Amino acid sequence: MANYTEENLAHELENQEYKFGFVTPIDADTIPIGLSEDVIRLISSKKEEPLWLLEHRLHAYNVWKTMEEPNWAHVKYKKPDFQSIAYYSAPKQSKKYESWDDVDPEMKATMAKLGISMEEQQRLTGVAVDFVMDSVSVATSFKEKLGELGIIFCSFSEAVQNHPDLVRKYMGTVVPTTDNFYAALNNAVFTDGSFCYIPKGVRCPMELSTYFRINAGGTGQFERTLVVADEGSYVSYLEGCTAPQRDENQLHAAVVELIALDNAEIKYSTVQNWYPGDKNGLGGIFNFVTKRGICHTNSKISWTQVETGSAVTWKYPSCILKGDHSIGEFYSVAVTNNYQQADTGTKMIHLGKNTKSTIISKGISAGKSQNSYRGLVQIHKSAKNARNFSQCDSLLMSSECGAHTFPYIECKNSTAKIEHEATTSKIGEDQLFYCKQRGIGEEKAIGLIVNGYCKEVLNQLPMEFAVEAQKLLTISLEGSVG
Amino acid sequence: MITIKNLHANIDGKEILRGLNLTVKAGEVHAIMGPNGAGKSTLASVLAGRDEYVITEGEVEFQGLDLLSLSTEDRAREGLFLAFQYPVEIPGVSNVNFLRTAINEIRAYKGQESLSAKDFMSLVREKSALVELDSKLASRSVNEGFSGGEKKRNEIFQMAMLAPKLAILDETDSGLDIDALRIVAKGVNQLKSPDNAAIVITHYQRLLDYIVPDFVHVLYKGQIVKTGGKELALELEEKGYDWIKEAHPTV
Amino acid sequence: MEQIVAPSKMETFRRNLPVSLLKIKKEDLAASNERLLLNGFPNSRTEAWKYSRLNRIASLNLNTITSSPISWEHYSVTNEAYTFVFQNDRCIHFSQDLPDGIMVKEAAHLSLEEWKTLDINSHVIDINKTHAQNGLCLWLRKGVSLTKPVQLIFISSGTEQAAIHRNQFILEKNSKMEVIISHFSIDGQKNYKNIVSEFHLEENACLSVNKLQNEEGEDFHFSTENIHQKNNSNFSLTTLTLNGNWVRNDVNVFVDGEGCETFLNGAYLSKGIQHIDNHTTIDHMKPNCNSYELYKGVMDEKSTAVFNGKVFVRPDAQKIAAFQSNANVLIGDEASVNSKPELEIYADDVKCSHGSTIGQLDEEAIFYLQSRGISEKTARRLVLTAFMQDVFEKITSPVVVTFLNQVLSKRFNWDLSVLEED
Repeated sequence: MANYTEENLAHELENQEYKFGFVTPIDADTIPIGLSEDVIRLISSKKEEPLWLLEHRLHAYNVWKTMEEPNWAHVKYKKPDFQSIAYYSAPKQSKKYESWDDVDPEMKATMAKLGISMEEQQRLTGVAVDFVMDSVSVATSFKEKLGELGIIFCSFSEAVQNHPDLVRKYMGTVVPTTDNFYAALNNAVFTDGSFCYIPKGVRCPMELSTYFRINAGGTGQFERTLVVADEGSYVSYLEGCTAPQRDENQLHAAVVELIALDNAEIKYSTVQNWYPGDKNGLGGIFNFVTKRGICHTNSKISWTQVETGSAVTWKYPSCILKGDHSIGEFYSVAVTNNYQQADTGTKMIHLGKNTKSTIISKGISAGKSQNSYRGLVQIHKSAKNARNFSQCDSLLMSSECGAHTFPYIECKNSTAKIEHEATTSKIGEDQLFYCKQRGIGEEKAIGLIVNGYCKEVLNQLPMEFAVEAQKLLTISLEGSVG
Repeated sequence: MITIKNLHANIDGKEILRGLNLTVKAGEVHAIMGPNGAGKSTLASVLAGRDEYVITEGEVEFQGLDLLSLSTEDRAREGLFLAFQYPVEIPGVSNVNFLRTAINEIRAYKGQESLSAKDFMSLVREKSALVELDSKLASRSVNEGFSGGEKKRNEIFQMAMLAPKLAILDETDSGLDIDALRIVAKGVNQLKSPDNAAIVITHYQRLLDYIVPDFVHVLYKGQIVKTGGKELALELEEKGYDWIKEAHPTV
Repeated sequence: MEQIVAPSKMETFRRNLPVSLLKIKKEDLAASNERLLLNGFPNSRTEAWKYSRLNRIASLNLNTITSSPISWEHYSVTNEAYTFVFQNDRCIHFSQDLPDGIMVKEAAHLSLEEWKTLDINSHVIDINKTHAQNGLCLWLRKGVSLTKPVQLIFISSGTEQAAIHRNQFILEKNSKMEVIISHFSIDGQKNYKNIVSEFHLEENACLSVNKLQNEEGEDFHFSTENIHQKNNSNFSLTTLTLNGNWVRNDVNVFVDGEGCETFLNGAYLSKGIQHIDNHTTIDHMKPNCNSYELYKGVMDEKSTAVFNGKVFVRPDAQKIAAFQSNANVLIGDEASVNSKPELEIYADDVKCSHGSTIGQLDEEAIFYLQSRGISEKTARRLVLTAFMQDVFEKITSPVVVTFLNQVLSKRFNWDLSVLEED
């Protein structure tokens, strides 16, 4: 039978606003603001990093200094002052956590508030969680159980210490150090993140999840995620993000790299709910993220994202379909309200023979927001019999918002088949009237219709995430139709 | 149940209803017939609260309430149901989700507790059997990919689920084959009780073979120009509407 | 010592081009000159020129040499038209037998006040403004409906000749006409053609333009059509690119009135190493309008095509329905295509859509035809023709259809009449 998630929302939706806007009163070890070689050396030494990684950071920094901030996206914002950001902030801890019991009670309370539980509940739901606050991994659950299968799931810093060969082998192979302005910055100053390695032939028995939280003020968050699925393996990875409500714009510049070796499959799901700023567009996160995966022969990478947060989003989870018969998928819901701006989409780079890609994008614009889909489907000469299907729909909820579609389709192989469709329209008046005639109030009717509109994408999410996403969609659009 | 007095309504400045009067009591079935453009569907839309129509004069009392002052959803919550002539598709929203939301919104309005999933599902089973609706349709998206007949049966199914006080059936018979017509009529008849009432809007008499009305009204140029018993429908079927038009050239 | 700066490519390119003979506002000219000097040629980082490299054009050594007039008659699409012919930089035929209600002038004879220039810039328009030699300017008076089309023929010949012209059409209230613009070349060797045409449609005016591009040789062709529509006007443009070494079409429609309809259709068929680039923009500035755009192309051998179609809906331009479709078939193993349909929507009560497809001929259909005894070659031709048919169907002018059939059968060995008989 169908689930009743839309219905379950009912009680939770009474005039809810951004509910993750609180700050955890926890001591943080934050370095002074500013960016220089010394700062990078300081970060590296705080993390007790090997020399190669310091050199990697310095190289990235030196190239970054020569780069310019990209301006091609359909977004307008005041460029961050990179010298007024603190590049390292870690919740203070007297010692390394040996066990869950060592974790600061405030921290535990924060996780509980965010709906993250590291203990019993997790055992029931079967989700292993890595919690990253202000770029530092706080706790990772289920390590041992995963370890029995040879699965490595830990913070990026731990991976650097304990699995340097793996990190060195794969880091920067999908997103080159100096790929773009923000990726280069991330390479120079990243402080932590998540690392995951699934050995050959192993099907990861539970969802792996990282929860990213910005807590400290005046900082940026620069984390890295590296997921390596070795030959014939499978993993489903979830990522959630929130941040406190602040009047300043905080920068989040992450890099996510996925590597699917032959016959492997990675499913990567994101529910992005960074603080979007207030109703007047004050504050909010600048979310400038580089996410890319590479598919080897017969492998598959599937990106699913539900984007409701951030003041400005600049994000294109992409797939390089290098191996023959590889598959790339991108399912996206992006909601913007008030003064939010999103420029998001994907790149599907077809290199191998018989490669396939699917793009399903649903944009919803409300308030005075601007929401753009930007996508690239590139069929190279070598990509014989490549296939792509793209569907990009935009829903407009107010007369002052904008919905834009910028697809680039480049085809250099005459055996390719590409289909792209896009529609832009208002929420259906007839649908609204029909719902109301059945006794359903306007706000709820909108929630119902919008969730239905996004169903194709929401269906891709693991169950638990799907419920969360549906709630978010409804909350994000509250008061958007007047 | 409902009393309509001197109702005038226009759309885009064009007057469609021009002083319509109608009283429906509990336990009654009224048929409204009339030629194309008489204002039949406008009446249904105005009663349900579609906001394209501007009401310039008149009043409607529904169970002691001033109907015209209520929002569309509150009219529904008070027990007014419209079976749409063209049911709307809502992609991605399953029929059961839709109905459960509707039922619980109505219950909340009345200060009642939400229906449990279990009770709701047994209600779905009971009522879908009534209109011989495939249970698969219940979990499909609202009206999406339904055939014309399925859409109309789904309307009656929803009506059965929501158990309204007053049901308005807007050309529910249009586009139905004889079997579908029979099923729809059966559903409507089984829902009939001394406490509720129905207004059946139709262009043809054939639906009235199955849903026997207590009164038949002829709507012409925005007014009810003739009222009779069920035999009036047969007379209309036989003679067409021309004699009505001739009798009321100046309406 | 004064430093000698190497002249930019743009300056080299322009050095032998004669200055414009048109009376264009001094400040406009100065602005164009400044932009050209400052920006030079756009490179691949310039969004509008991402897929069309200008290197080969920038290195042309252009001039204008008086060549002996050719006989143009057999390039005429129809004799039943008011015809104006330009060979390279000059006008060689100017129709005299015009009916009442229509006024024409050579562009070179227009006074400053008579120009109604739309505010839109590109390096192509700037080159045109600063070097235009001539062109046709036409006024169709209130309520006049022309029974015969106006025909403009542009023929280029010679080597590295520049043909730069500017046309202006003003259709007053309730007027109606049809225009056929055709482009040919005679053994063209790297000629440069830059034609800018502006169409101003007053209220209720109705204009249908068929643009035929059929240039042989190795010419470089730039066509720009800028259109301004007022209330309840109806504009349609069909661009048929049947031949051409390097072709760039820019169409910019400003729908500046309510109740307008706009139709843009295009067909492009390329072979060899041809490059055909169609850029269109429809800017919906006012509410209650519809626009329809359909571009289809077939690329053979090593040819390349570019389609970029942009639909803008400005704030408060409610109740807009805009539909755009681009479909491409690659038949050459090394043929390629870049398609970029774009929607930029700032109003909410709209219905806009676009679609873009790239694919091959339907092999199933070909096999089916073969199984009915049709040769593979014919079968392919039939399926191709069927693919293009919905664009060709949009052509309302019988003489253009006849011309199209002739070119298709001659150049591509297609026979559209086969379909009609079926």
